Amino acid sequence: MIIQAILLVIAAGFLLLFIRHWYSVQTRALKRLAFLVFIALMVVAILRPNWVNSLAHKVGVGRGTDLVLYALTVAFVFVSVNTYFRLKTQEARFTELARVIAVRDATTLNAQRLGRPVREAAAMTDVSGPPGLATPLPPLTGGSAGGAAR
Amino acid sequence: MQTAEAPGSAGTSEFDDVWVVIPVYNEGSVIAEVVAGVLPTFPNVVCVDDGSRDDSADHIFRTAAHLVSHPVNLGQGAALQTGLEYALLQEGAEYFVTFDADGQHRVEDAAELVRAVRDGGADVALGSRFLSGTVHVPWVKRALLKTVAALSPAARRLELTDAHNGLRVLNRAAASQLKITMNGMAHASEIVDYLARSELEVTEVPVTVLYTDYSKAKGQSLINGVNILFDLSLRSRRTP
Repeated sequence: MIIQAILLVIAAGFLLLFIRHWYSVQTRALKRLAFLVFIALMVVAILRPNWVNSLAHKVGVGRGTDLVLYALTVAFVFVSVNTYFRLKTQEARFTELARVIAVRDATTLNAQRLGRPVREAAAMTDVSGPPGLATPLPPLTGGSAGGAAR
Repeated sequence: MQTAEAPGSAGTSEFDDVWVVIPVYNEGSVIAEVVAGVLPTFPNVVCVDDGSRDDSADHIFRTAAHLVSHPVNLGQGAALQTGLEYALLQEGAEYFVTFDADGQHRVEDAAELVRAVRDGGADVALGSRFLSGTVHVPWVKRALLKTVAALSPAARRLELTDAHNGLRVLNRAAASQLKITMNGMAHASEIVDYLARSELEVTEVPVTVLYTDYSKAKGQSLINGVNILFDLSLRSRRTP
């Protein structure tokens, strides 16, 4: 069956994309081209439903509907994988953001509560920062060591 | 207000240049005790509160440990990375210990690992439950961990017996190169993987893990192993 071969090739293609450079510029361009082709095919399928049918027969699929179903499945897998990687990237950025906030706030907070200067990140020039970033907290050690904070 | 241990006691300890990183997530009932156990030996402790929903942060706040709070829950791997980055910023920090918050690690073991790195010439020391007496490891857990260690190419290359031990010591070179991207529980394998790819000298040191009822209840379940394998397999394909 031709359709089996086509679907297997597509599956192999996905696997290859998966393994290497999902994110490269070429891949991105390819993804956009594929999307355009997909739309074009969609328009054709809408205007000439019988073409889909005859194409289906040519590749060994019983009905045009089944062929469309296959195409939909392929598109769905593609979108899923793409979304997965996109979410991963998003998560990485989100984590980095949260981490910078956490470390910056902690630098101020711990300097105050532990009563000794805590090294700040190189990028952060002002320990005091804008008011409200880290809630000022009273020193824990009853003030004796707390004075050294600032 | 409870008086915390004098943070100024630094300057006397053998381990002044050591920072202990403890990722904390909903450990309010034990964290203060764990920190209190660590501080006499290691004066520098940073607890990363990973957006706990309980009062973990309050408990840490009352100790002399540094507190870093994730604004939202990100996962243990992310907390470790945050703790390491924070500790790396601190003056005089040369050795970095990762330590579990649930009290399953012994402070003596951590000290032993630090010595292995500082005096033994290794860059990284990993705790292993299986090098010496294995009496304390429940057998299901043992079988699982041994399988993971055997299946992981990285662990095999390093000849590790225990790929998922939370007790580790890294020197500055190793800690500053480490970038944990697996926010969840897969970070343990990610770290081993990173070590295997690096030029770093890695050694294993026998440790005893205290399987208290508390740590058993919180420990990784078998089913979570599926999640870990999934995350890892996708990640390793993406790295060139």
